[in-house]
Amino acid sequence: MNFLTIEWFLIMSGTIGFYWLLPRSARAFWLLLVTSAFLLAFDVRSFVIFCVYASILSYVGRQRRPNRFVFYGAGITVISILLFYKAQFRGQLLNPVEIAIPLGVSYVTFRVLHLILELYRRTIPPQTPFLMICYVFFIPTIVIGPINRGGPFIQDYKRNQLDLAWFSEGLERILYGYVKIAFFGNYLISGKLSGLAQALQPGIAHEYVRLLAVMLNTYFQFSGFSDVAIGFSLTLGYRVMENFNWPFLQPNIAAFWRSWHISLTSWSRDYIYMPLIGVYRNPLLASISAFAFIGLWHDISVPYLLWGLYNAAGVILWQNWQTLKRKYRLPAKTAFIPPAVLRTASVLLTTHFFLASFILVT
Amino acid sequence: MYGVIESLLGRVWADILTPLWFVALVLLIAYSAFEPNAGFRYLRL
Repeated sequence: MNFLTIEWFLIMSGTIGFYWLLPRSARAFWLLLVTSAFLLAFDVRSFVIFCVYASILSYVGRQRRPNRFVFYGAGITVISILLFYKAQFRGQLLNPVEIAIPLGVSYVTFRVLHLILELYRRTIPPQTPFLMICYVFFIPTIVIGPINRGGPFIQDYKRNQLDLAWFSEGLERILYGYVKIAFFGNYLISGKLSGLAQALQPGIAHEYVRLLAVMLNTYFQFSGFSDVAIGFSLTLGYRVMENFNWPFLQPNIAAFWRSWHISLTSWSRDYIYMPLIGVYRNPLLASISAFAFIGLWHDISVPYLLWGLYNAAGVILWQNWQTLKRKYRLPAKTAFIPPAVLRTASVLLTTHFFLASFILVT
Repeated sequence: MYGVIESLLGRVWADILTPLWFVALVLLIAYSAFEPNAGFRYLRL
């Protein structure tokens, strides 16, 4: 599903327009209807999976007492469905296949898992089945995320009010998203920069420009799609979490990973890293596991596992360096180097560390 | 964007420049859309 199409623009416009024209009680039904029609039109498998997830969530969402077997069973079922499809299509993430993984299954699986875990922990109280179905069948975040959290969704669902500031912000955000996708991603990076890479003779310069084009295209396309999804949600009165926060301006790899694909990395932090820290008290194991998960989420393949572990190594090294600096009370680098120079060098080093990771997956 | 322009140049300029900014972005998108689309089309997660 490409956002840069008339079909998607008509889907968004129609959804938003009718949403606010309808009476309050009918709006959720409208979103359900639109999402269902969208999934049936573009991928029937996804529609079936979403129905299964909604059924599971509706059942666990009503549990007054957190029955461990019910919640574990729900979680295992949901993960199994995702693993089934991921294993079937492993190694095909960047190949132009016609029949691919069901649309949006990676994102919805982790949205559902998140809610199952929070309902079990009782951080979110029991909810009506209809609300659970609405959380699953939420069209703005189906195709490419963000992996929006249940708590804010429930608040906005219950608020169900036109906020002109949010609506305006949403439209603006959609516009910025399309600029990123069309101008920066497609025209500048995929068109001009990739063209430059192809014009260069095979060698270091060719490889460098090629990797730069892949990295920047990934960023502009993904963050552009995220902006469109976030803007679409805002126009419907839902504020979903951010997915990117100027990652290429971050001074170190840890800050980078707090700014890149935030909805996934925060999910990994909350449900992989923190529980492992709680059980094993071993930050090394927790970091490696969290990043291995992030890598394998993209594609169940050795290159993506190595990609995750490579980034884990960067974060672990940086964290250990900070610990050493504190332990031996090393003087701040700004004592010798002007802050602006230091900041620029840090940003370039961080960006190129991430750039190098694309060697593993391209 | 309105807030940014207003803080830099004042409300009058924000009222003038903000719509122009959005029109410019729309034109940029339209211009870019005629170029080959080689982006994330096949990325499915």
